[in-house]
Amino acid sequence: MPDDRTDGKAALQERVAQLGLQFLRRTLGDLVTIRECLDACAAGDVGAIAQLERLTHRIHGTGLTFGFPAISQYAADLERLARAALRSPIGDSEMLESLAAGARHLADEVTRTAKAAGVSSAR
Amino acid sequence: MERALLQNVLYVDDEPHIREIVAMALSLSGDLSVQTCDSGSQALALMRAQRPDLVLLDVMMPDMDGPATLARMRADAALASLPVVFMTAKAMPHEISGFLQIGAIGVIAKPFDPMRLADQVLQMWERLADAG
Repeated sequence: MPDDRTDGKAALQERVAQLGLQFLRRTLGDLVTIRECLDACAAGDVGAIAQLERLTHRIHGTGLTFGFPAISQYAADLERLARAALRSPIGDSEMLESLAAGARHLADEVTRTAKAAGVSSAR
Repeated sequence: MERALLQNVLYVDDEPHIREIVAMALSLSGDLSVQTCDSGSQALALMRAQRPDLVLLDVMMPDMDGPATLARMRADAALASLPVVFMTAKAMPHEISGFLQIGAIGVIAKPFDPMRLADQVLQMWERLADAG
């Protein structure tokens, strides 16, 4: 007969799965913010790079917890690039290209995963 | 000597879904009362009011991050002795070492396994009790 702890584990697993779908939906929306950050970075807005770092850090940390290791990894890569960009000269074209490439990889993975899970953006 | 029981935990994270999962995961132990909040400043107020046995702190939060929250705790006589565990994706060996140097009793890497989290926290608590 299942005890309280077994019931609790089942409830937790179910909630993690539900929140995973919410994570995908929200991250699809985050892709728009990431593009806006990149545009602002290109215009020399250092604050946008810091925002990009925070956003990708959150996706990195949360993605794995909800069972999306590839999304988490691409977010970690972009987070690392954003951190490096904070130490680079504003508007460094090579750095901007790296950030754009990293954002594309992340966007492709999020879009692919969301489509496979039947999730569309909340925006 | 009887070991002090871990009864009250405060978890601080700006990410609401992670707060929910951590609260559910810690509640699996059956004996833990878990409170959560979303910022370092709110955490300091809760600690003063409720004196949790253990504080779990996310590292990267807007405004006051985890290390800054810990620094404020250590500078406050009423909170200085509260044990802190960081939960973070910044879990490279040199980063863990840095967190321990500034006074954390342990670090739990994100992503964490929700099914094992309560056991991890209880093990850290037991190590602290054994050392103390």
